[in-house]
Amino acid sequence: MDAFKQVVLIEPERDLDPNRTSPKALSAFQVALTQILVVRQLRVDSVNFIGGEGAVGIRYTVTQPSRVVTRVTGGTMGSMRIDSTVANGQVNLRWPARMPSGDPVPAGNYNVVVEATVGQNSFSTSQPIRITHGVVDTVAHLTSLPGYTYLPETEVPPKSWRPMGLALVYSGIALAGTSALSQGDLGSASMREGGVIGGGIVLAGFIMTLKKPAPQPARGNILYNSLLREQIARRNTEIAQENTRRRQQVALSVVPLPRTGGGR
Amino acid sequence: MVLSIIPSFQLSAQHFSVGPQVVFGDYREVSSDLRYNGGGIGAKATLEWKKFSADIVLSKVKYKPDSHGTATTAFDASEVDVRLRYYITGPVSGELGFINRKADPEFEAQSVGAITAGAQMAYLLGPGVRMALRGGLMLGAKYSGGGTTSGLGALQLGLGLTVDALHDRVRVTGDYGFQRFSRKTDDGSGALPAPIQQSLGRVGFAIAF
Repeated sequence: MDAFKQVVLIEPERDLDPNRTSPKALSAFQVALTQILVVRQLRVDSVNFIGGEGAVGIRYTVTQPSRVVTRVTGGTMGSMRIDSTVANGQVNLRWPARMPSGDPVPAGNYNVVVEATVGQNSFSTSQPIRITHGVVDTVAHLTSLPGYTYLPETEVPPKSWRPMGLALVYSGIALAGTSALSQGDLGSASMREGGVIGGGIVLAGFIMTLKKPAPQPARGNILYNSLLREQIARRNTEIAQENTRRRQQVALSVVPLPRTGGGR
Repeated sequence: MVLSIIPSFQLSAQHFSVGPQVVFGDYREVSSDLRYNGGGIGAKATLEWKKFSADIVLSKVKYKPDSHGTATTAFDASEVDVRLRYYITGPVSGELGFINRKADPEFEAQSVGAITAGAQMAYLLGPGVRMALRGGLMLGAKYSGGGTTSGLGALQLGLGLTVDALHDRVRVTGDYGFQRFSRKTDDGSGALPAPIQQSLGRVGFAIAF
């Protein structure tokens, strides 16, 4: 038992392989762990998050009920207590990586120090970490809305015989009117003048009928496109505001570094 | 100096066009034997402003006796036709104006003047191609040789075509006009019919401003 205590004190992170160790030895090791005060298996998660919107996960195991103080030291800030609790067994913390002022912790190398104290006994261990700052990604402005495309604002109406028909009607009315209105005493009216102009109008109507109709404004599509543009503009305004906010934020990256020694 | 202080003529809300026309026509008076036909020149100016538009049409036709008639002497007919138009609704516009035609020599044919009132229906056949049909009364007709016409006795009918060309700078124009005056004369022996009838065709172009 004492030998196991010595082993744990020397190498607190040491664990026995249950496949290669006898149950009796394993049991003795577990009992030895409960009889000495150590903080084991201190782990700091490797995470990326936006300052103020996330936290770093910190986990450790304390083998006896004790007052456990967790601090972060190093960098330009000296030492900052991030947790103080009476604990036994596994403890999970979430550290937002913020200074007391609320600002993100400056970039640099730090140590997460966990110190457990019971009476005269104390034990501390640490995990070095590196915090780096980055730029928060901004959102690209929209040129279209997914699933919605602009519609053509003009459309070519179907070919119609209406111009030809109306030219015939107008010319017919003029010539028939001439014939009807002409004075009987003066003989049949001359149709030469009306025929020339009426023929020209019928020819123009025929050409206009054969000609591809001019594109006409498609009111429904124009309205739809207007609404779509309005939606995209509104969304881009929101994106611009979001990007302004994001440019004032810091992306924090927390990476645990290899330890240089055990705890004491 | 004077030119520099004259404000430029703004045509943003109005259109003006003017141009020459070739005129050909048929003229009959009193009976089918007194008939003439001929040709000449003319001019037409059009001004459009908001719902208003105006046509001023001038023509001078040299009428020659028709070979099938009994007339023997040619004459010149100089005509002024002014029409003021107001757009009403759809294709319909109302027209008001006057017509004045002078014959030279004076006694070879009747000179006539009248107030015109009527309507026009216009339709856009296609891009830049418009046609119009118009008709109306010629009221209060006065004749150089005397005579009267009842209220509905003088009628006119017209057909027009305008084709925009060269980016709307030039308009090809074609117009047809028919006039009938149911004139009556009275030499003391009772009213005698002495009708006047004219068909005019005009083809030309106009410069648009």
